[in-house]
Amino acid sequence: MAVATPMNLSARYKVVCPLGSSIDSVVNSEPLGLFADETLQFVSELSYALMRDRRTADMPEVTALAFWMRKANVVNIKKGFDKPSECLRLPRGTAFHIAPSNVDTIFVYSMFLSLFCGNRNIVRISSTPNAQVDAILAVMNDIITKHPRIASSMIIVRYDHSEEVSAYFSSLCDVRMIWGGDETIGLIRKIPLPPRAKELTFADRFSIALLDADKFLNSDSATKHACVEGFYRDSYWFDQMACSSPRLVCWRSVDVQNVRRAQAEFWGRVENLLVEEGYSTAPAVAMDKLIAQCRFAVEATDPISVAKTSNLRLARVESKSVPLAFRESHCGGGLFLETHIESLTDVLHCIDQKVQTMSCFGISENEIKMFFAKHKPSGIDRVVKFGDALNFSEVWDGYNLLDELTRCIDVQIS
Amino acid sequence: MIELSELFDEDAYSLGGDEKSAVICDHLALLSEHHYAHCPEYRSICDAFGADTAKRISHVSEFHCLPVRLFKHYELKSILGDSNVKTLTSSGTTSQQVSKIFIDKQTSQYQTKALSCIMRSYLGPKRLPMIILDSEAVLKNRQMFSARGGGILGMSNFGRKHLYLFDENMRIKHEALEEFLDKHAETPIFLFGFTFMIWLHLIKELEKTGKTLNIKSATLIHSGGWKKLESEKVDNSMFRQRISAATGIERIFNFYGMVEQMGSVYMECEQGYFHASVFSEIIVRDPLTGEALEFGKNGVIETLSILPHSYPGHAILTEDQGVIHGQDDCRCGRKGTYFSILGRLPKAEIRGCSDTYES
Amino acid sequence: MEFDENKLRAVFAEALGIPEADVVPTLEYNTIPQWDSLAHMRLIAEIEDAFDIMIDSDDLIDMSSFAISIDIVRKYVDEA
Repeated sequence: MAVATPMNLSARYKVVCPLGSSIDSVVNSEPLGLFADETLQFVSELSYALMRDRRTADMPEVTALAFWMRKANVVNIKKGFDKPSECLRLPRGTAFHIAPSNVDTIFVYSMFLSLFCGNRNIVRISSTPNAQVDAILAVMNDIITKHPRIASSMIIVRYDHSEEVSAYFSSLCDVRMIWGGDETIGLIRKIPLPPRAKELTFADRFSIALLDADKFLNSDSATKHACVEGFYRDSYWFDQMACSSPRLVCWRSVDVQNVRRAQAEFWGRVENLLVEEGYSTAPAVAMDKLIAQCRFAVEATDPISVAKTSNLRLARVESKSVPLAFRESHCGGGLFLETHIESLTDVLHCIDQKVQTMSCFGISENEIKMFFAKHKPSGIDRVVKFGDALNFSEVWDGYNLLDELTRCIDVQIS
Repeated sequence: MIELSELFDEDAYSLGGDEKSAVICDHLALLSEHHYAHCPEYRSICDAFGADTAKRISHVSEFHCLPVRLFKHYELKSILGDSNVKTLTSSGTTSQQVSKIFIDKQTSQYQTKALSCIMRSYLGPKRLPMIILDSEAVLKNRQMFSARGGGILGMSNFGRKHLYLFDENMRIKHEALEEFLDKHAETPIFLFGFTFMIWLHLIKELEKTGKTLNIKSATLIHSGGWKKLESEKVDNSMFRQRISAATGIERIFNFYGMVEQMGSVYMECEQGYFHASVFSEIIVRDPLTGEALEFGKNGVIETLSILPHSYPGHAILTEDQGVIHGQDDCRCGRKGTYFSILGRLPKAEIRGCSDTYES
Repeated sequence: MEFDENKLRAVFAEALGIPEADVVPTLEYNTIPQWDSLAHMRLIAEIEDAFDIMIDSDDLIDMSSFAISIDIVRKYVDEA
């Protein structure tokens, strides 16, 4: 495919941040240093503004983003990266980020990690209007005028799917980051990259929760509450549509009666919390959940059973095995498949490559390490405590993004 | 137990109270067992939800119902042996997936007879000269029998000397119409069509050309979604006004029905309410708790029909919202439950990490 | 830097949008609508800014009342 000239392409995308910037000025700019002071200053100011600006202060995903961007956390990220290393680290050059239209904030995480690494950034976001994205861009545009070095290191553009525009940006980049899903990855993969450029893809994933039923039952009330609250946050904050939100819940115990008792108490507490938090489910979502339950029933190989809940804010399905339809027809909004396992090893029957995060309650770090060492599962890139599933981290989907976004220079002359 | 064959000869709205509820319960219990035995998907769903189809049920709201969208996902049927089966599909203009309904000879007969019984209450016992407010071209493609074609053919049984009012370009055939009206000047006539087609190709066309028809003694029966009309800000009462103004027709009856439950349609009465006939029942449920709501409360509509034998469509949870106003005491004199439809469930917003590069 | 309880009270009041008089030791997370999980993130960010400290994630979750927050923040300020 012939690469079109930038001249006749510029009408096909819209520069939304910094306003009035151009691809040329970004591509020709001097790369920033790793964790450059200008970058840290900019991120910290932006975090402060996003938390307080009335346009964004009430948006939970933006607050979570701003929280991640706060100075203390960025310093932490930097600390993790400043490990004594045998090689010298340098920016890769130019990163081209392709963000999905239905995860409002992922483009910011992606871009900032890359900025920390000193790269120049071209970010494609969808042209579909989105309140969260528009608000973030407005705040960003206010602040970026005071940071000319940053302004020349990044450009955010909007365009409808266009192979030519994506091909042009791809031809300019040293690393391409495709934030899902599978179909997009398939489409973009066909577009060639310069020989030295690399690509990171973030495919469709889904996540699971694992609880030790005995430990749950033996916990004090405050611990149980914290467990349920963490689960609520992981599952309901993004209406269970984030790839890190659990959809499958595995209950571990050798005693099936304990599993029953733990389930009854756990879900009772979840239902109460949903009422307390005022979590509301649209009738259409309730209908989607009901239909998904029916579809699991039809498509499962083992018989399943739909557990009665008082309100479809919470929908449950129990099954011996994990039906495939469970992924294909999952609609989010609080629909959980549950399965009983006797040991951690049984988790192997519930997972494959597509599993991203396993959030755990009552499972020790040692057990997890032994599980990975012994079984070397093809899935699970992340094991976290209940409540931490949505926390973005620089290690994601099995990549250490800071390593991936930098070049390693081997110097051996001493 | 009262057999279906006995019901077909009675007035469709003469049974009320416990008597009617017993008829519905008896038939639905048989249908539930029948579909449980013959439709594997229905059986899996009943098992998963713990619905015991052999259990004696005392209230119509206790039958397990299937969400209507499942008919788009699966080919649901309870067909025995080599029955002659025809497949009916929803028109599928708004979504890519279409419902597929499998109707054998027996179910088809039940549908025809039930519909005829219901229509008698509105059109009288005689078949009237009939104008179909559509183009005959709709019937040309018999391979995929659409709901539109099926609906027209089904209703054609209740008229005679049929005139298809529109040509293949959906333009009014004025000459043929004049001839038809001259010929049947002495008798009441019957018109049938789909709401949006009537709006677009009859009312708006007449209004544009400044023509009016004078068919005051006619009865118009129409059906079909209001979605497209909502976007033109037209509701039922405005639709009626504009029809009356353009044609003189005053007896105008909408009906609520769906391809998943042909035959047992819900006709609008003179008071403007939809009525369940002896072949059907209506339940309004809370969309979140599934609880059957009392009269006067808004919720999701579930429709029950005692006709579907060849597919498990006897208890269907629709995606329409509505409200039941009462039972057996409508001022129109018909017994049974009467209700209004309040539009579709609003669509859910989609987010998440899945695919959306296109947009 | 010396730990100053009044300064912490002011930060609480500012971040949660409540009067300083309402910031009492028994004030607990999730017992008032203003202190929900979102406000908690804002609160942590404000405290870190005001005292120039970095709170570990375990402590971040433990800060579930004003009384406990006093102890935790004091610990960080003293260490700094």
